Amino acid sequence: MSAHLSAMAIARLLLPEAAADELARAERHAESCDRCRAELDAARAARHRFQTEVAPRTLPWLATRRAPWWRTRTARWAFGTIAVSTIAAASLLLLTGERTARRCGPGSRPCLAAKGAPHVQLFARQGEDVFEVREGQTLHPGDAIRFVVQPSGASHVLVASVDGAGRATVYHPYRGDESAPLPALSTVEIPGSIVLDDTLGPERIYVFTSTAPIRAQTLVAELAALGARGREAIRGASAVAVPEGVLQTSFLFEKGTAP
Amino acid sequence: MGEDRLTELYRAYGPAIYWRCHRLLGDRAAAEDATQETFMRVYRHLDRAPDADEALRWIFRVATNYCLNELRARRSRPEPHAEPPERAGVSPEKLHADRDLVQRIAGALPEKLRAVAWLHLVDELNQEEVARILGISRRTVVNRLAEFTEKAQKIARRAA
Repeated sequence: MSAHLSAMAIARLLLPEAAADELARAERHAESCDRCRAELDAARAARHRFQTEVAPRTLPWLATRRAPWWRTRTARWAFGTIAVSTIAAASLLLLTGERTARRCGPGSRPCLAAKGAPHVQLFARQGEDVFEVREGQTLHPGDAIRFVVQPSGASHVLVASVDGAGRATVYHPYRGDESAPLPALSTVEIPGSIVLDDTLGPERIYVFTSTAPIRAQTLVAELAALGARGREAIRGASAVAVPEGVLQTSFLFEKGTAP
Repeated sequence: MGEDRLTELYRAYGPAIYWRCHRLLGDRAAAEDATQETFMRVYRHLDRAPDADEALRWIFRVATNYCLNELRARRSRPEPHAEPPERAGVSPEKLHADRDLVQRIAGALPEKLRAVAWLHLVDELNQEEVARILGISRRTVVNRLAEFTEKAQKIARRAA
């Protein structure tokens, strides 16, 4: 069919068990064929790049990632960016898993009233890439974030964050005074997205849910007090004191400069 | 599947997947992302494949479809739709010879035609191999190539 090396033939040469005679044949052909020489060199460069850059970067994540179905859905989302000031922009983090009642903060006040804490998922967009964020991941200023909440029966939600500068901000409802109502769905995609500002360091997102509206001021004050204690306090505080009937989930990520 | 086995498969087949995706997408970041997506969709097949050729067929099938869909999605974003070929009177021989032209035309056509056209005309795989990769009959490959050529010629005539 063709006097050149096919894509399959070249791909075979990139496998660990590539046969020596096949390699030799390809090299002999490439000696007199510029096109195949270029293809072979490009394939070897790609292999080197994979081994030295791509694999080290992606292997740790590969073993823990979910099935790719979510990404296909995410890619179809319209990433409309809401207008936010760079100072107010907050990043959201993704957290799955149910939290049971536990103690937190001084005085051992319960942080959670009962089981049934919300589940949230965070998706981030960096350029053309869209991915699910995992705890502890580093995001960059300019990344766009949006999230999906499973409210576990709650009717209201408030999402807020505290960042590396100690600032507490209500993300949803954006700069609102109290929590926003949720549709009666098991999974809710919060509208809009947030573009991360350039404040570096830890940022922790808190998702508070309840069966009645909650005032933002009380929760923001708790987050501001946490922020005043510094970055390590933010990194360590998975929960804050909340009023009776409020459930919470939090997630920490780091904001760093893009490589 | 244990993490060690997953790692082993990724290290073994990752270079081929990455090269394949980069060849299709022409962009390192996109290729890296596509590599992970492709691997997560094929690793079970790779684990069970009786030989390297069978493993590569799975890789080619999934990576080709995934990446061609990505290319098509890119074309429907801010950029204008796929540009028609600049040259009129596209003959099958010319299609075979001009890979860039095939790439541009393939972007404008349905998925089932794109994969067949790409594998045969750009990757230069024979019809039998294309059939095995895509899991279709050789007859279907022949028919789709004929349909691709006909549609490509129409696109070329409209552009002329």
